[in-house]
Amino acid sequence: MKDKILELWSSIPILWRKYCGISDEYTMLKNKWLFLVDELQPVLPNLKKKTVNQKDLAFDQLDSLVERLDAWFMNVGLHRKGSEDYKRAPELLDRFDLDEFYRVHLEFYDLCTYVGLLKYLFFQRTVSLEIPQLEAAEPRSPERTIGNEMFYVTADKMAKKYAQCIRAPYISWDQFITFIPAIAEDFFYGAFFRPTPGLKLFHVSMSEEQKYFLGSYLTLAHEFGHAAIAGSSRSIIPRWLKYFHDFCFHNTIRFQKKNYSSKCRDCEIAFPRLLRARTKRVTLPFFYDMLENFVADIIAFRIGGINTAQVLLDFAPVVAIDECIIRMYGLLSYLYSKKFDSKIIFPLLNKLEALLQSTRLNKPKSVKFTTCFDCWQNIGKLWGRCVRVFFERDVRDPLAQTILREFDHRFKKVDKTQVEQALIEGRPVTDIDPRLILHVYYDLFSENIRPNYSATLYSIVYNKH
Amino acid sequence: MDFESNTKTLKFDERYGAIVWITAKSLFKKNIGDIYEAITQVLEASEISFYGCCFGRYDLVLEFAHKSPRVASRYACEIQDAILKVSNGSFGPCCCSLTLYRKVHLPMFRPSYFKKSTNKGKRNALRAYVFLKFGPKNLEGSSNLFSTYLRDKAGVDLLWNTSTYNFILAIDGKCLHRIFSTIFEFKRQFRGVVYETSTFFAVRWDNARNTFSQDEPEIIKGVKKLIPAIVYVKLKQFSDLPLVNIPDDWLPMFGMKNFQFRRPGWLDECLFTKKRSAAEIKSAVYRLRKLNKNFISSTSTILLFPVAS
Repeated sequence: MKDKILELWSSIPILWRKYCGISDEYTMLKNKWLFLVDELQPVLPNLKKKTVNQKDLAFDQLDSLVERLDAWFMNVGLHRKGSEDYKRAPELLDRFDLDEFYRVHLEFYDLCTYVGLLKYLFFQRTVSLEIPQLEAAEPRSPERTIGNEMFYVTADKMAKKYAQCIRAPYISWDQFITFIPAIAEDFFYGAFFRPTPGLKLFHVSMSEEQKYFLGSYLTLAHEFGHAAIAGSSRSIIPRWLKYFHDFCFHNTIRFQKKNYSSKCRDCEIAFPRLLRARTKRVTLPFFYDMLENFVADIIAFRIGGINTAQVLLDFAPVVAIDECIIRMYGLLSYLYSKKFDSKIIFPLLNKLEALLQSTRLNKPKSVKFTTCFDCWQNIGKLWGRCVRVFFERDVRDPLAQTILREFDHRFKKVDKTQVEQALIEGRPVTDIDPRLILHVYYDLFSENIRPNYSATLYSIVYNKH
Repeated sequence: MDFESNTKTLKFDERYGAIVWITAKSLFKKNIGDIYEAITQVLEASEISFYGCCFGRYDLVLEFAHKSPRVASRYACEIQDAILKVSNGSFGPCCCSLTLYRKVHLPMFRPSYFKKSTNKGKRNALRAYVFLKFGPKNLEGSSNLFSTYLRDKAGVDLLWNTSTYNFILAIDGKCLHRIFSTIFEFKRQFRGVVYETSTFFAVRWDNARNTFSQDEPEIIKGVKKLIPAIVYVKLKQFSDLPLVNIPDDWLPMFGMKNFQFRRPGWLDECLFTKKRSAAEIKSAVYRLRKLNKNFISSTSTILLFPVAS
């Protein structure tokens, strides 16, 4: 055992060297960031709390993480200001704890991830400040293409609104959205939810090209839906979600057992696969992910409106059509059972069926279809019913408790046509819930009417609601 | 030939040097001493080889050396935190940028800087940092060119930098005009070799006297030569009213009396002055800031050196 630990010692100075670089980079970046933070021009969000009583923000959490890591390294004899003398290290073996080392390793990678994200965001939003000028000052560039900070601020503002609408018990939002290089993976519709276990923070990234169409920002609602049901790691999730998963899993097995045939062999959720997972008492990752997405869709609908489903349908890539079938049919079945306005449900249903029909007819050669469309359609409907049965039998509906501010589909306080008119005419409306503004914006686009881009952007960025 | 193989011919000093560039909003002259005190809580005063005020983009510059770049980088972070503690309330937010370098010992080149820095009595008042950028092919043989050129230049150091500016020429001096002549001569000598340069001038801060070290004016035929400077002003809030408190020693530009030049760019105002030394220019700028402390957010000073065409 001692030999093994001795071997590990050789890796500690390497980790320490990396840590020194990352930690200093973080400190310098943080100070530059706070130097540029300006309440009047919110290009960079303020990530440090202003008063002691406030909740810890990203910089506060990262500061304490750096302190913890510094203390650990100091304890094993590696001092930031001391000489780089590693020979002393084996003398300190008694203080060494393997579990602690594992924790430090994970926390170090959390720090690296966040420094990477912060740096990425910093450069994205300050790119136009660095354009050299005679006075070497800080001109704010009016360019639209690479340095338009308004895209980023709009995403932040929308995300902030969605974050205020949910109750996330285990993790909190880090207050900024990054735009990352477009991911060509199957299930990347627009945004990406990334929890950080050590810091109890989560980050949301959007695909680079999404920023040019404001309607894409509706996908943020889905990601915040994830936040409402996610734990700091997969092993820590809300208990009700675990029970709901088991409930759906059980019902899906029963359904699949009845409908199993030889052609279902390659299906991701074929009866034998589900049965094997149940016998071994393991969670089937594909099943769990899809269910989590489905629940996040329901939350997104409740905080962001029906257009959060519309945007999924409009942008769902053909390769991800199978997952989309279950999620969309599930959501529609849930809405139907909740007696939601049929004028909204049926056009969406028709659109979904038209999409399936065209995919059936024109199966792209590059995509392998292993899904039985009819079968998955029925599973979707089954899940929709499961939601109603599972949650409505409980007086304290846990799903409803994740939502703090429901989206108002009836536009009680606001005349929808007034907002529409304002956006078409190019008049900013800053006193109306930005969720409604985005909703109206997407509706107009769906009807082939062009709302004013700048007015919508301005309405969200300078929103006073 | 790549950069690595070129630098093999160079010999470096054992210690690493760190230049910390400090920018602060609404900084006053009295804060410069406070910041120095904060820095000396992190570093010993004897370790600081240069501390002074910078012209242009940055407000202050600090230079120190350490044998480990990792520790030097750590000190830079701690200095930054220490300054932030001082800034709390007395001046606006500040931030730092760090340049790490290794001093080059060229053959026959007299390493002067670190020795000189310990000799407090004879410290020069001015220091200029000339950032040099080379095209890759021009690096070949450049060390020989430098050695020939710099061996008899006292107070000039060549620093190897890992940024896109490959080298920094650090020039110490007592007279701004003479430093400029050295830079000008260098540019003329290495025309076609050096691809791009960027220069920062700094005046040493004399903490014992709580003011800037006095540099010497250039005297030609018994007349002290003046240094013209343009000062750009960023106002705290946009206003159509001109600055009211402008001391008498600020001059009208282009002979236009009772005129202040407003700028439509990011920086709002443009003022003009002429002084005998860099220290006098710095003092005048800080006086201007103090008199207009409710209006001026920051200033950026450009020194001018008229050359006959």
